[in-house]
Amino acid sequence: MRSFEPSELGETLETFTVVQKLEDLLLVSVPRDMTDNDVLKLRQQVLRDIRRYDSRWVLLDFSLVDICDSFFGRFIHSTAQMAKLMGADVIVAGLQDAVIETMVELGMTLPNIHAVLDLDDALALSREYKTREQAEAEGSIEPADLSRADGESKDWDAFADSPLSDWTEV
Amino acid sequence: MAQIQTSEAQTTKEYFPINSLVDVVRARRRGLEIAQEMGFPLAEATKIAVVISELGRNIERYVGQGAITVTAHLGREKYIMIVAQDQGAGIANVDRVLEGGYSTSGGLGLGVSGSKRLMDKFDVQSIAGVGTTIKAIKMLR
Amino acid sequence: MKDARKTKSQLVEDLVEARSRIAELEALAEEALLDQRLLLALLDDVPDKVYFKDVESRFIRASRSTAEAHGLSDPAEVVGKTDFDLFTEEHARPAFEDEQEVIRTGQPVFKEEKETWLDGRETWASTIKLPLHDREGKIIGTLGISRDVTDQKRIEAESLELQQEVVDAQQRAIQELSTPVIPVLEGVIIMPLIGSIDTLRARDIMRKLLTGIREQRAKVVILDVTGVPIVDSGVAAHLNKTIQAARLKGARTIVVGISDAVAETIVDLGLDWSGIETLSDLQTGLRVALQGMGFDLVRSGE
Repeated sequence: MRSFEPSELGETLETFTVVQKLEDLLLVSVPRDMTDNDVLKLRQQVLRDIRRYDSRWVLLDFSLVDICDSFFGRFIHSTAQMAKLMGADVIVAGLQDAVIETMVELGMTLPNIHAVLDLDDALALSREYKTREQAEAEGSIEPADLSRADGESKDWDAFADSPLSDWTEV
Repeated sequence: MAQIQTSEAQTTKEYFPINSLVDVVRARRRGLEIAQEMGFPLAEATKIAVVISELGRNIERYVGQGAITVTAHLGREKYIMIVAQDQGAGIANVDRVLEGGYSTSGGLGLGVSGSKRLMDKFDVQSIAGVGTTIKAIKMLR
Repeated sequence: MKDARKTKSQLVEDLVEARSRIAELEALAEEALLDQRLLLALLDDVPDKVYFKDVESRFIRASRSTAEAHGLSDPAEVVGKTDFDLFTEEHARPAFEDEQEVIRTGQPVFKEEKETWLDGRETWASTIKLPLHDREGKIIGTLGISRDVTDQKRIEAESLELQQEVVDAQQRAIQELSTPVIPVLEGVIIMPLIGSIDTLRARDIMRKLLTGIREQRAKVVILDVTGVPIVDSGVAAHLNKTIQAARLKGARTIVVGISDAVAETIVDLGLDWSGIETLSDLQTGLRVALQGMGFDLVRSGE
């Protein structure tokens, strides 16, 4: 368990644990008012930990965030892109109603990123995928239809890009 | 906080100098509070805070310093007004900036056009080499 | 009386005539005095403001109530003044113009007006202004009667406000009833939409839906638009936003109940609904939703 360094807000986030591992998920409790530097540090931390724990999923929990602007949207996208390159998918959880209303008004709909209500649902999602991916690797079901959150199907290349540990030994 | 009272309206103004991102965070936090105190529902107050955030960020990123004023107008007409000012190089093509759509790459247009969509009245005055003033109003129903 | 010398009988006639004339004049004087006393009584006691003005709208006579309204103890102090001396321009100007119009046209003016006093007060008055004629019928000024209706106006305004509050409360109640969220089994909710959807209603629908998803932990939302008569680009945009919002809250949306007319409109308008899941009706939508959650609908006894 790693702690987050103090932010520039001048208040010490005393060993406020922001990033934790849970099963094949990396849980990130996104803090409320991050400056651009805070975000950079957080993202670096996340990418380091994906590698460290070989996480399949990164759960970005926004339960604490009540103001989201376009920067916030870019943070989610860039983190998702970087995590993807390392074989992990991002799940967004805990978006507050008021935040969602604003995002949707701004056209910030986060396509290609899973969204769930909370941690429970994120775990359920990850287990569901694990079962399916294992079944596919075993050959008991067809590989084609791993549907993503917004209805688009994951393509074979993307699946092939996932880390070797996810492939069952043949 | 400066309080200006006339026989008709009560107007409260808060001034936020913007010199760093911490200032932006402070301004938007306070903006959220002011909006809620005025009676805006949470979702509307959130939109107001986001506008302060967008405009504040633009000042910080493109000019380095400026100011945001948040005015709560509670007379016969009730509204909140946000004014973002800087003395930077100015915006070359205001119309194009206002049209900009959301994209993952970001940029000046993103914040300004988004802010326009979130508010009821929006005005951009920019003079090359002199500076920019952006005014946004949200009515309280 | 040509002849200086008159007969005794002529002198007696003259005397009788003179006495009768005097009696006439005395009677007239009595009447005039009575009229004057009545007028004075009226001007002294009448609570409404009664006043006489000349062609330049200067006061000729005014009731005591008029004087006292302006903080003057003696009605005589009002004589010679105009409204411009007693009120601010905001009221004095239109009042003056009204009087000038009465003088010009000979027609009375009857209105409710706001009086703006020099000390900043504002009151409302119901006023009538009539032309004043001399014996030849020429207009020589105006007569005005003004009654204070400030209290009535306030009561009127309060009553209107109350009415509006009642209407607003009813509106809210109707909105509540017209946008229900119906939980079905295990994380499936149905939201039937009935009626037209404007921006305000769309916002309300989105909020209700997000609350419903949160409270029911819904994974699937069935949005039934059978009861929405018009789906134009505006409504489609609203629905789109709502569906996006539901997704960000973790729920998938199935839209059901699109009529042929609506389907035509959507395609004609070139709206992109390719990403939106749609099914024919509520029954189908429900079955698909439940199956998606891993349920199988089997009739018992088979």
